[in-house]
Amino acid sequence: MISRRTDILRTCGLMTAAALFFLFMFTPVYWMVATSLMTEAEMLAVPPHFIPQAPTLRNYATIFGIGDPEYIAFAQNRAPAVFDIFPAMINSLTVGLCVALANLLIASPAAYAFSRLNVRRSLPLLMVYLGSRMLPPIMLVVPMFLLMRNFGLIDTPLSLIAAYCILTVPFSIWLLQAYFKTMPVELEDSAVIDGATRWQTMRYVVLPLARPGLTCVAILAFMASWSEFLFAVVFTKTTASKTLPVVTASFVDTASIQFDYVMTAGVLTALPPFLLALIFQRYIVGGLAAGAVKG
Amino acid sequence: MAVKGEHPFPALARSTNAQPGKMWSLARARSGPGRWVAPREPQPFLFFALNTPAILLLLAFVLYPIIYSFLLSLHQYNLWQPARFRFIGLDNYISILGSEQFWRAAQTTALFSLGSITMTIVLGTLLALLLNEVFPGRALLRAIILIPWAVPPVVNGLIWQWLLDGRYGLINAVLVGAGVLDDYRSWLTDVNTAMPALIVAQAWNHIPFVSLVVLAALQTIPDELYEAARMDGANVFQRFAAITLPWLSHSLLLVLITQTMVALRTFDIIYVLTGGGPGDSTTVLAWLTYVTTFNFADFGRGNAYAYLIALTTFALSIIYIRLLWKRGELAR
Repeated sequence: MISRRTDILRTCGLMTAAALFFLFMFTPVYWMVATSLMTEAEMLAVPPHFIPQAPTLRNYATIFGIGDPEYIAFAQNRAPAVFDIFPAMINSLTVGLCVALANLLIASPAAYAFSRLNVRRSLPLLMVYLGSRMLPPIMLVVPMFLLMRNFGLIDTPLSLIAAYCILTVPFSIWLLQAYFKTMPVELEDSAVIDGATRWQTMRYVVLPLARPGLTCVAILAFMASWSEFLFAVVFTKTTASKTLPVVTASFVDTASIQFDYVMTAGVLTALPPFLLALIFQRYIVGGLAAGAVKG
Repeated sequence: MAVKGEHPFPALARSTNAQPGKMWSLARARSGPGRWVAPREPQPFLFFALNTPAILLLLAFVLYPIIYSFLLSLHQYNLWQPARFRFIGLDNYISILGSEQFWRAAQTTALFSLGSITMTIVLGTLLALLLNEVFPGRALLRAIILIPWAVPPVVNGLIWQWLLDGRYGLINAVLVGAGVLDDYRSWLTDVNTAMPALIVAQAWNHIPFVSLVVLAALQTIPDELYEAARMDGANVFQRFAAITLPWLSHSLLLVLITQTMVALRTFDIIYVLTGGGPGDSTTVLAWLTYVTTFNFADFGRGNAYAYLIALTTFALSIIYIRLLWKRGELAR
């Protein structure tokens, strides 16, 4: 009897704590989504409406240039940056996909070399990769800005792709070599027994088996480039290369309150990482845990 | 085509009784995890061939920039006054280390880092402990916990700016509604509340990561340990102190390292939330470097700042790595 009562008390206590955490962790996200569904008038209501009374997708439509031409002209006048969001989405997507692909192409051969080639004294090179992760980006951004300026690459997506490869490839190598080392080498042995060459073994045994690791690396690289801000704000000037975080942050400079548009841009910026995190949670958590445990 | 050095009939190579140490010795005998079976000789050439793209990337975009950056830090170099470019040795460093601005920024960085790391790790660990218990709703909370982590830092900053807004913000409305505050406050332009606001926003973004890493470690604790402790009459706090905390120390150390790196390089949410103000109350070193370089075009001094940040990071990394080394974690 007593133990049953303490059990109920215990469950109540745990649920209260869970509710508090839930409120703290998810109210900000909820409020962003709710605000993005509000009109300007409703956004400025005091006290605020916790649940939008007349939710509308007009803010989203405006970003893509759809809807009442009169309202679009009004939005153009009120916040011209709204119309930079769509080109920025394209830029962010291009940069993110290129960086993810480059990570797979550069990191998987290197990781394979570390895990399978049995080279003594390979540890120092791995430590160099690890060490380059420790460099603060602010230190790289200044000389890289001058470098990119000399090559005329400022305000091109290419400059961002190069910068993000530097930020992500060392981590990808580290993560993938740890992943390859967990894969049983016996399968490759039996492929070799069946007469497979090293290339065939890599192509038909290692890569298919490593798919979870490769997926994780690609997703983390994409998410890192999609969210990065420092290099983006320094390297980009116009819609030719501005990425979503830069455009979203550009609303801050304006004097008027435009949080309806800002939160809409925020939802669009946060949506791909949200979806990737939810769909690939298992891979990401596994990868982060491996990355954290090993480095 | 067989790769050079590979036995044409590896199965045969396995079955023949070659002497150990020779090329085709018994595969099982020496193949540990991570060992290639057929040619067991190290392949340095292939190793470097496969690492070439990564090494080139590092040489071009890491090694070259850090050398270039160091050389620039020894110069007077303002982009607006290119004619006055000249070598001044360590003068940039001397002037920085003698300036009050630098030391204030260093203090602010320390305050921000300590605050955000402590809050992230304490709340992240509490959340992990909670998620390790059984209660209705746990599955839901676990499934969506990554969401705040997935929010890009710029968006994180903007969300908190809107929540903390002085005229229409939700937090003001809730606090005034609950009677905690008499009147709306503008949190981000008040010297006393700007830094705490920044710390809360930063912690909010990083708590999920910490709690997932800690949770992964919690799940490996064998139940027998707790049962034995219960037999010995240990209460919940004693069990936490004697079993859970020591078991977690490794994960907590790793989380501490990653969070320190994150805190020292924080730039995005400061750009969005406070812009280093009010006054210079939230001007951390990364922000000071950015402003010096890109707002005042003082590339010589900016590079010197960047080098000082890098040295601090480097020193901290060495301390951490030594700690890990002592624990035998890196020996593997």
